Amino acid sequence: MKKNQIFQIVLLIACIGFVGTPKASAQQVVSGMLIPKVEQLNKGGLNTQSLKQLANELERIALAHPQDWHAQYYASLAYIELANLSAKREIDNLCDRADEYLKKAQLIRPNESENYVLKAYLLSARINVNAMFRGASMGRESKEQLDLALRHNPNNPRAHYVRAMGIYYTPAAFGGGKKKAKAHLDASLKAYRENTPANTLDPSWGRNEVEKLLVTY
Amino acid sequence: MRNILITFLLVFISGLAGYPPLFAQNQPVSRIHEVSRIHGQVQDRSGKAVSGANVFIKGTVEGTSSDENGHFSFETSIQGDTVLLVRHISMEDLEIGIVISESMPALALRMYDKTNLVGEVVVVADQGLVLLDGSRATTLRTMDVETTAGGDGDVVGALQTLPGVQQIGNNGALFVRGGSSEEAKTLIDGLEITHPYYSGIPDLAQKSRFSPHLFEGITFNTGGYSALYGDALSSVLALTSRDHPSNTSTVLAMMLYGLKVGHDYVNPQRRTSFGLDLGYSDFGPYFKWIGHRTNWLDAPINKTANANFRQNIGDHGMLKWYGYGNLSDQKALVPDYAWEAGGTVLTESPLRVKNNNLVSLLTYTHRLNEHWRMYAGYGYNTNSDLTANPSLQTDTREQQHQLRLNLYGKTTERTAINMGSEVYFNSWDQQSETNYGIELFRRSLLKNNRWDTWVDFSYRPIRNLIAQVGLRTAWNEALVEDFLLMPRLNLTYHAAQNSFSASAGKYAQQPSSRYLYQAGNPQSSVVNPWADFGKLEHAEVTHYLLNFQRKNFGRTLRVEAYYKDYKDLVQTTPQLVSGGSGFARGLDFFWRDQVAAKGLDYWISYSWLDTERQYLDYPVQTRPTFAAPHTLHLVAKQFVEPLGIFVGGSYSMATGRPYYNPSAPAFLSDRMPTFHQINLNFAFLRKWGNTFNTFVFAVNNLTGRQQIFDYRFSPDGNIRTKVELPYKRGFLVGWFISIGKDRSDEILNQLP
Repeated sequence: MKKNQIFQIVLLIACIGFVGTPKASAQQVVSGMLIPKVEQLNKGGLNTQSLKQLANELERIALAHPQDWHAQYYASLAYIELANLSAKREIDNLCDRADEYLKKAQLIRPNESENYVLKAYLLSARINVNAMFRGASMGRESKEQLDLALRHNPNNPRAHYVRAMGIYYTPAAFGGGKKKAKAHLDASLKAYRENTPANTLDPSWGRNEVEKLLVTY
Repeated sequence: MRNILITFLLVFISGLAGYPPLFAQNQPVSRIHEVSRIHGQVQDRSGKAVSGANVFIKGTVEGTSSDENGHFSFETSIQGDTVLLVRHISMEDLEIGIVISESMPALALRMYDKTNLVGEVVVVADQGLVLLDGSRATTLRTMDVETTAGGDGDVVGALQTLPGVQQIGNNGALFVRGGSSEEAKTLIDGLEITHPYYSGIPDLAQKSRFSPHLFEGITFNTGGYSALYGDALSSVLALTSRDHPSNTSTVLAMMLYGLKVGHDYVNPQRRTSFGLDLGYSDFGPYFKWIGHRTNWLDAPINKTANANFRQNIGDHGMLKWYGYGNLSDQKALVPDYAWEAGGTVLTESPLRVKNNNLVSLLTYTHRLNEHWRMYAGYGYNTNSDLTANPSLQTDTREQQHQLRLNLYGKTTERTAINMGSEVYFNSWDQQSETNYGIELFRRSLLKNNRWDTWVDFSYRPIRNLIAQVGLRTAWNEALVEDFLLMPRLNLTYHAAQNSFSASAGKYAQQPSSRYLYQAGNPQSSVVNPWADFGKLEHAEVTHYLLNFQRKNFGRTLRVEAYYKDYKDLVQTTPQLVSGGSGFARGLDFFWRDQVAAKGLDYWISYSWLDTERQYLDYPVQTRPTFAAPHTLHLVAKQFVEPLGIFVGGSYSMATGRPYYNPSAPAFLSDRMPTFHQINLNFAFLRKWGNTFNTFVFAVNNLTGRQQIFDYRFSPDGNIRTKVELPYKRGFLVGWFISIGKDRSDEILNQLP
């Protein structure tokens, strides 16, 4: 009887384990699809054509899994990175597409710091279309988004990085320049070192760029 | 044992129920283990290959990107009926139904360029104001309000370099396409502003009260606007106020003639915010310095307050309040055209103009669901103008309450509707007394109430075509035909970067209060609330417009031809009736280029206007005094990177407007000399510590050319005096400091 009881308990646990598994597998399916692509995106160094393909792949995942925040986030990020590599006349269209997925990410997680950072990063990409005339208003809006990002997570390294980048490329006469960007780059690197993402898929981009910029000092 | 087995079965079955792949929605029918190849080519409308298109089965990740020759190929195990979706960043999405079988033919997929969103019929702005005017309106963000040289820092000044707007140097208001200034209406968040301009001595251009930095968006429509707006024969200037600021900040502005202090607060959750700014200006020392020609006894002193409050209500509602108050006072020796000594000596007598103005606007917008929104607004305006000379003092007061309700949204994928209703309760009162307190007359129009409703329907029958049909009704208690129907129609066709638009519509406007009162009982000195309102009607106009626009990455071309047919305009002689008529026709041209050279933004606007009317005291139909046949503006702004400054300039030209000469053979047959003016401005920004500083220097009428706007004649017609620009050159020097948040673009947008 005792052996039978042990067998029954083990069987029950196995069933519960089996039952438990299917509910997680949908998430795992998405994660499984995203991880290699996100790694490719984070690694950087892709040419325009490869990045375009990657962006399309991430878009397909985002559309097939509309409730997955990571899928929307990385689809948006990929289009922003593509905008940063593209000719001026294509930037707005690419940013519009990035915005489409960012909006969905914002609906899924309304108070997420990384969403605000991404919005600021998107605006920085748009400024490149015509920095002389977009710099003032979009730069202002970008700073506002970063303030919101830091309000929700004061240790977000990417918020410090995007801010640093904005200052680095703003003419010194307007309160920008390499010198003034240093403090924000330092804050960013410190935050990267002290904060590791909770989840493999959580945003971790930007550290390489911060380190590259710091080397220029 | 049996119990365990039963438990096992129950648990297993409930687990299966939660297993997504077996019960997921939106999965195509699949017969597993068969693999099909989906392949083909993506082309644009001209047959050229489209590379980088994302071709995939809708709702899945199965797909691929098209190569540089537009070819694509991928394998899928999905079979049967499904939808293929193709996306490309500069093309409209393509969805086609396909049946996947073992052997698939090559697919030829044709994609089309994205339609130009400027022509989009339903644009639901964040503030809840639906802009339904497509390509006919100039929709400007505050950064785009190029308050370029000559603008003097107000919204209207900015708009005067756009086509369709006449430059009337001795009057700062909006004169659009042959219409008088009364025919242009100003709205903030959908609510009417009854007195959008400062009051001042005659023949001195008065600025509009509101500066562009208060607003998120500015839509200026020069004709053919939708059924959403009414009571404006020529144009509507619709301003939408800003939403929550992201940071608390303080601002200080110092100019040659005054200063302003402001503070904005927003709570950490960004659901509540309010702001206040106070301004004080005294033009005395400034006018003395530039040699202002007016003989000031007390140069204008202005005290202004702007306040705002915003609160999110729940997840989908927003309550906004905007308040404005202004006290202004000025006194000058002005020409007294009574002409003493038998008509040969022009005398001057003191005139004081004192104005108090208050505006309070409350709006609530609510997002009902993904497609529908509602709006409710209450607007209150009160204005008091006191004019006094040595013998007479006249106090004119106007008060208006407005309630506006609006419901709008998408009814289907291709259709949208906007409907609403608004009521106005307006009272007007004018009292004149001698300086000894003896009442000479009192005129009152205590019940000038109106009620308008509208419905506006837009339909997109095919991809490139949008049809908009609207109907507006107007009822006015004070007029003869108290119920008016105004149909409005617009068709817009898009092809790549081009859009073509045709509009027609009927518009109406009530006569101004002073005529409405007179229509009742002109001789009475008794309060007359129930005057015989039988004499006046709505002034009416029918607009016909054809518009072409091309927008191509940093370059905009717009050409518009219009014809306006006026009737029932107010005539004052020989008696007060709504018997006037007229027409206006013209051509407006606008070209803007922001990519010609690095850091350069310029535009050219040209208007040709042919208009005649018989109204007020005109004995015949003729060109009115506010219409120049040809108007040209050249505006440019350049960023000089090594110096970190913006330089801007403008040149304006307008051929001669008519003026009244009692000796002329025909009424209004004389013409002013052609008007030319050059303005220049500089702006630079510096960040010191936590403060963002903007310095502005601007010159109006750079060459110091004498600018004549009108003539006044002695009764016998022999002596003529000029009404001219009251200074040789005007200057603006300002230092604008913001603490806590960079608000430098607010002052950049105020560059004259």
